[in-house]
Amino acid sequence: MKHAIEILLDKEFASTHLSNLRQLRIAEERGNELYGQSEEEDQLGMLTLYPNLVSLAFKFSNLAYMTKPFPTGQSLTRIKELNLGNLRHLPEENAAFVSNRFPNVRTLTLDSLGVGRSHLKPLLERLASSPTVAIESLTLISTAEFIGMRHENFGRLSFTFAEEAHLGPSPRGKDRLER
Amino acid sequence: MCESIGSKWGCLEEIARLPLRSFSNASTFLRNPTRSSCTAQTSLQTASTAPIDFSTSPPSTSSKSPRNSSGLEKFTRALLFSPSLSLLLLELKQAISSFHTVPLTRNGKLTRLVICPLLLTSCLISQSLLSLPPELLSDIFHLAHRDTFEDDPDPEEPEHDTSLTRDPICRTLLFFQREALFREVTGLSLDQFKLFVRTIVDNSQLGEFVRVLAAPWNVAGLKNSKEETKALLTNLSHVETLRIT
Repeated sequence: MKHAIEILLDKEFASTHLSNLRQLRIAEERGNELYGQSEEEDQLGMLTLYPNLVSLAFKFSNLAYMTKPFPTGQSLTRIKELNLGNLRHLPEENAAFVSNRFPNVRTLTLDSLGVGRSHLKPLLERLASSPTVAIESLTLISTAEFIGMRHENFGRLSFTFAEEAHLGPSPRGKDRLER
Repeated sequence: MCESIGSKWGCLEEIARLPLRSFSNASTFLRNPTRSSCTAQTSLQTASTAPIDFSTSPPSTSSKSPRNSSGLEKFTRALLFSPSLSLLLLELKQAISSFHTVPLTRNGKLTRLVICPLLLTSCLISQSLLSLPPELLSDIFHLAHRDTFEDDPDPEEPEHDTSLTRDPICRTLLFFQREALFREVTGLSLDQFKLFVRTIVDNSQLGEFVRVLAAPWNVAGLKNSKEETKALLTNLSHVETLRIT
């Protein structure tokens, strides 16, 4: 697993292989490799080297407990579909991460395992009011406490229930909300 | 020839009224050498507008290849129960019905025998699979494979025999069978994934078939070396979806 991510994020490999790759989904126990431990190297930005990559999905179980800010770097402007699992407890960080790194995302899925309603609401409010993010479809994969949010209004964002396949090896009972 | 077609016209009409699922019977009828319907198929070869060669003999490349007729028949039967393929065949039927009218004499009078689209479809499946263009064969095998391994099969359908799309049919169709087999690689167990990695690393040509790969790299016990993992990813030159779980 670690080898696969290392190879995929290797600059030489990414610039010469998998030119047809459109969709990449990664579910891993540790997301440090992708979010970058080294400040000198923008590993997430290496994904821009795949010319047809338009859909990304991550699920990192340790993300909620990271205290280090998301590394800044190159925007992945081609990404239209984004699925983020295990949000951090910092809504400002989450919102800035989405708007800065994925400015052209249209379909966003958020899995809020370990994140309370109080963390999710500020994130949605920021995304809804962001001038740079134009999300057309928002899906929330979350615990039952978010069901009550279906009638709340976040500017352009509203939700209905929907089913979606799990990402990752550890399924759990969840309710889902979708715009 | 005309007399034989005329005498069997009633039989053809009877076949034309059969539902799609009954074509295994129609195919048997057409393959029976004592029936004169083979004459009608010979007539079809004279249709200048035919976009597809309906010849009953396999192409020259396959004539030298050993054919597994029972495998071909089993695959044909599997195709008949493929819902996705039914849609494809419906389009084929419409295309064929608009092009194939063959002038024939019947009882001494010139008439136009409108070739029954359903009958032609049956011919396509049962006897001329080998003569179809590669693009069509590729789609047929993909749909047949997908229907065989679909996650939510129709409970009213007879149980699929997965060996029909796995076991070799004949050498000519092996390429398309492998292409369908490796096109979407998902739901692998640990042992299956180990075998898959070894297969792709040893044979880079098979890696070119892979469009979707869900790789259980996170499963405990899987210890691919970095070189092996890189060789695998390098050989997946046409992959479009990569799920690392």
